[in-house]
Amino acid sequence: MKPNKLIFVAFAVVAMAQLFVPGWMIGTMADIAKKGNEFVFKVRHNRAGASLNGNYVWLSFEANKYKVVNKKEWDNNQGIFVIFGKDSNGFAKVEAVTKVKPAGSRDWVKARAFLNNKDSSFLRINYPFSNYYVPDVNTREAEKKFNETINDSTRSITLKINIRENQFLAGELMVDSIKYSEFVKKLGMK
Amino acid sequence: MNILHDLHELVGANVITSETAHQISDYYKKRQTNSPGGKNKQLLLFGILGAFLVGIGLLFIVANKWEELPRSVKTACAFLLLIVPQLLCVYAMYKKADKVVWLESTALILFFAVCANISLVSQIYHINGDASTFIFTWMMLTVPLVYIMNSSAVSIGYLIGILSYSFAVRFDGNALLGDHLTWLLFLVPIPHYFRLIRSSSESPLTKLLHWVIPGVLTLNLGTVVTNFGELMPPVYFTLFGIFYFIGSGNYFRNRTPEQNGYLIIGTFGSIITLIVMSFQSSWEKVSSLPHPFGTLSTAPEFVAFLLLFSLASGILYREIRDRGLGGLRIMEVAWFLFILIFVLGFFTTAPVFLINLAVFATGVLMIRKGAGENNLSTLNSGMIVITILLICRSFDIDLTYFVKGLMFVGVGIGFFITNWWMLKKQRKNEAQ
Repeated sequence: MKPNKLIFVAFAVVAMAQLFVPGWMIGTMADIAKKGNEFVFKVRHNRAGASLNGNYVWLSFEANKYKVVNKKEWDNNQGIFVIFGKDSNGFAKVEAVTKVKPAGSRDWVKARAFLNNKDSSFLRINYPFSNYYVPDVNTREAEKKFNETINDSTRSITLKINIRENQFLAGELMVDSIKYSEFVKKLGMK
Repeated sequence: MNILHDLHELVGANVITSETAHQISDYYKKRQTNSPGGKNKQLLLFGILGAFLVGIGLLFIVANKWEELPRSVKTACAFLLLIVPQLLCVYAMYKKADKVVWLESTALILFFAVCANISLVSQIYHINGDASTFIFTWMMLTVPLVYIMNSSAVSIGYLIGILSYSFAVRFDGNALLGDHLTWLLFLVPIPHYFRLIRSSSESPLTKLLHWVIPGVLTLNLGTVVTNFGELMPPVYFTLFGIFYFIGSGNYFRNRTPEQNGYLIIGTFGSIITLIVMSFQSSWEKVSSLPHPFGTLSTAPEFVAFLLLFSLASGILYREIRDRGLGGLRIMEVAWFLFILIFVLGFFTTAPVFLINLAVFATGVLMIRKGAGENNLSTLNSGMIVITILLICRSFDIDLTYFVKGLMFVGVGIGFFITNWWMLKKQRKNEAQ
């Protein structure tokens, strides 16, 4: 029994769509790398200690809070739009937080706001790029070194992110201005 | 097939001729080849299990040590991981179109391959996104396989996927269709399900769908809760009432409980809801909080209740028309009685007592039914219901340990006596 042509055509359409979606994702990323604005986020050294979950680490950034006038206007876990700018040192800072899609800027992403327990006049922001994939930590020793590095307050850790209208491309994690992959090689971890 | 072993004996004893024995033997062999039961059933199950393991294996590749490869090679691998299962599907559709095992297995591999491919591309290019968008994309790219390859395994994967999507939307708030329109996504494989009921009702995947569909609908009902969670018990109870109607309908009437997820989920869901509502604390919010009709009328909990109530009422009306009021079973009207008791809860505390009485009555009725039908499972289920009620009440009623102990001893002895009496009755029947 052979299936009819229509079934094959339908399958071909579905198969093309299955190939198109990841292809489109890659194309969009290439576009953002070219046209998006680059922001350098300083990674905050977490006293509680950031740690790897598999190959992913939850990064907390210096630019992750925003002062609000009336805290009653905001809810916990509220969806927000964060517009970014640059501070005097060229690092990313939160320019504004809105509840509606920003019209005048392209440098924004959708994020989640949480009320700060210690100081409720600040919103704490969770970015969609906080969960970062770290490729070079396949051994216990490398994992231990990574955890030490990420929590070492003497080191400057940054992450470059290209942003354009809620689309973003995370670059490599930089430790003391060198790529993490090179930093690992320098330590002879690989 | 046991009868095939007996054929020689029957021929030897001149009960049937050898020609009849051949005909019987041929008939069963033919039936075994054509039916989804027997060897085919095993092949299907192991084929799907194999496909599932291959699928999981593909997903594990995501976590494999491949950091040393350049980005272009990784990307090529990611696409190869998708293209190979696609080609396998084409082969199955072209060369093995009449082999259910091939179609189901390859479709399921492709189902997981799409997930693996998107995950890999996201990982390679550091694309972070929310879980809901990922699951939605995965499901939309694979659900056509349900119809194109006639795949029930993919329909099960899709239903579970949409349930996960529904939960993810609750968490990250990125509903692509609007919060409650997610329900419509559950309808997509339903025409396939109806076709299975008509054409392959004995397939193990059809039987599994009889569990998966009521299961995902029950779990997804939790996503309608916003501000009036205390009003959900009648919503759940009405849904369980509908499941009970379906499970006791013509199609399921002669099926074993293992094949009748609707009846089991409907019955035990109702009992669990009753047990939860038998606590005084479950009624505190119902009676103490204001429920202004203006706010309530647009609440998702209330809208869900109205929709389910209309559907259950429609089915009940049809049943009354066909069988008369006297022909109804207690479980078929239990949801309606529960709603009446629940409404009473806005004004008095009497429902706590009434619900406890209802749980006790359910246990007694089950014991009675089990005893009447010589069914130990039903009888013991009734005993378990009463035991659970007893355990619950021992928490919130201030009785001495001596009285509580006596109550448990009483139920324990009840278990022994009823089981002993039933076994004795069964032996007596067998002897006759």
